[in-house]
Amino acid sequence: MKNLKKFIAIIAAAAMTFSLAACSAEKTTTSSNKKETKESASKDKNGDLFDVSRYKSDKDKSEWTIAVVTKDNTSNWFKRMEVGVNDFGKETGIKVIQKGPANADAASQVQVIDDLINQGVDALCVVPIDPGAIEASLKNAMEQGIVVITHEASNQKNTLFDTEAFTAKDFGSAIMDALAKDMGEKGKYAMMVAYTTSTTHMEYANAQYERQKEAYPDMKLINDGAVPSAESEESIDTSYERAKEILKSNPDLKGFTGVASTDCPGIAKAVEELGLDVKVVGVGTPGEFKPYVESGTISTIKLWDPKGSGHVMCKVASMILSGDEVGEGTDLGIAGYDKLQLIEGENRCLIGQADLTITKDNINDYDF
Amino acid sequence: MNKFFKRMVKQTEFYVFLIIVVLSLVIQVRSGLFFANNNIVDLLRSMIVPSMYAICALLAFVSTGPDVSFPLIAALSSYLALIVTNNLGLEDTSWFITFIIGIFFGCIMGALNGFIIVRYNFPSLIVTLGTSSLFSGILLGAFEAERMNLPKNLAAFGKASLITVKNAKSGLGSTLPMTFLLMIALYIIAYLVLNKTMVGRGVYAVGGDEVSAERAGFNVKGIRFGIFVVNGGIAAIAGLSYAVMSMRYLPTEYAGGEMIVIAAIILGGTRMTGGIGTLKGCLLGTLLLTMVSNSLILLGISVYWQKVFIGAIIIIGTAVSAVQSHAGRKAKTRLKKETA
Repeated sequence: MKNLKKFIAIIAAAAMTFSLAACSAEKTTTSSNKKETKESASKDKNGDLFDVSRYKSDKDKSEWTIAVVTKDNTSNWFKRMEVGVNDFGKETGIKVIQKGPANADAASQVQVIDDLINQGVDALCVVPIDPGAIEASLKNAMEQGIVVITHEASNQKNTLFDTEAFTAKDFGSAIMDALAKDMGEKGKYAMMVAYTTSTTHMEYANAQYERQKEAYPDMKLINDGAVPSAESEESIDTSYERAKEILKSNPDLKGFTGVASTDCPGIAKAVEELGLDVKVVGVGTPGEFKPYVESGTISTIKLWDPKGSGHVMCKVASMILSGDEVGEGTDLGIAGYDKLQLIEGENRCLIGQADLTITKDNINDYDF
Repeated sequence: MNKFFKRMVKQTEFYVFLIIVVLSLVIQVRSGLFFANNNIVDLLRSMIVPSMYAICALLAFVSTGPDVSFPLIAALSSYLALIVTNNLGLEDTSWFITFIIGIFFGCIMGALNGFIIVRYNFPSLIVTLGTSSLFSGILLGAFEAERMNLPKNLAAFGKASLITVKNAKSGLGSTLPMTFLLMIALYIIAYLVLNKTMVGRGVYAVGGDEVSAERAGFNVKGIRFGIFVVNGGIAAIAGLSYAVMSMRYLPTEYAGGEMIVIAAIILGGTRMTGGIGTLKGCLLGTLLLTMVSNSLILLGISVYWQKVFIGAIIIIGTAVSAVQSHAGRKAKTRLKKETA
């Protein structure tokens, strides 16, 4: 009996030693692996991260995963984008996933991106909430050889291509033209954005103001031309409260623009509740704005089709993965994107001509 | 009279009240719109949801520690209430039924918080942070909640108004929704329970000194568990009220509401160390922060400076409360008796 115990003890001790040895052996192999990857990463750093040809994938098409990261996956806007993303998946047989942060804030989005990088996706298509906040994550992704494409972020540095439906300047001017037409080119107006850190929103807002100064001298932006007049913080309720405040302090307001999809419903609700005659022009989905468009409070919707944008991001990513050339004049085979314009500024920006104008007359043609 | 005044000067609430008075006068002078009837009604409307949350935050701080899960409990329980209402064909019943369903789910979620905190004696901040992200995951991941319209009963409740005012000068109107009554009811109930019942006094006792409370015969674990269950219920009411007021259910707009509420109740004199805090302070703190964030446009402050302003108010307000706390340390026991 005693002997048996002794024997078992010896066996156990031996097993432990062996396993320890095994462990340490494993450790050494992993650390040497790490060293290798580090070396290759540093080599990458010496090379040009923005050289598109670096990202050509050796894997078969069927093994690619293209991930799309949105600002907020629950909104109709990004659900419509998902339609385009899935269309692309079906068309090409490439695996696509669309993910959004649980909360619409920059920190949560960083987390989603980091998770996807760890899952080893081949391409990341991102619609940033705050481009600055995700810069480091995107750089990290590119260093690992992941294709990075963005949308609605013309100042994002760490991206191979930013894709836009149109230039922010053209779109902002188009919004102003629509507003001017609806309010008779005369009177006070206000503008709302989601966050002042939202680059494209600010570009639209500035372009609107520029356009107004240039073409409509009888119109006036409230608060002596401070752009923007308010932030909606991506919340309809906040938008409503801010709009109400603006209407209270400017009872003679004639026009209001909102460039986030949360802005106009809040503004329109406030306008209708107060019983004022204010024309609201803004960006959003026809489905969500329909009641206000039909009642005439929201006079014009300006937008681009998120379905197209989702499709375009995936398409560009796949072209880079397969080593195809993308640039000035490329035809993506998607309506409005048949002759891309390439603008090189802080990044390379691929721009289409895909803006839509929706009013009471044609709102029923759009089903999102 | 003199004694009353002396006592008042010692309370944090008094200073918050002073800040409110000064600020409202400043806004009135600068914009001439603050004391307009429609502005007051708008302000009350904006206060409804944060001040409901404030009760949750207060109860948690006074008895146990921070609770940051209430916005997500609000979001998830309202979602479940709406779904159940729609699927069981309860659209034609009273709004009350939907609220009861929401409260039921809210209490369950609160019970989960309470169970983990009490049973394993974990810090409430960590536990509620964890459950927040759990609930958020369930809401947006498992259920894939999206923006949706309200069932008929809630929509009708949302359209009903308590008071409608019209500013004679500008012709602008404003309406106070019925949910305001819910908020008042919650405050009255909370006041009565906290001040007139043994359980209510137990809440303060448990937070003040756990060991003494236990020796005095309070069921410490029971009270703490109960607090979190009640918090879940209140959060559900707040969540449904938010949906009713915006006439739509907006799943992503709840998260992140906790910080400003916690700031508000700390401003209102609630001590983070437990045992001290009043409903009066909650209301005043919430009023101050709502007032600040809703009046900056009236003041004509640019978007960029608004955040600086809000931050400054929080820090100044809390500093006043902290100075009070130093001064009042000697009188701590006496203050405790006077709370609420």
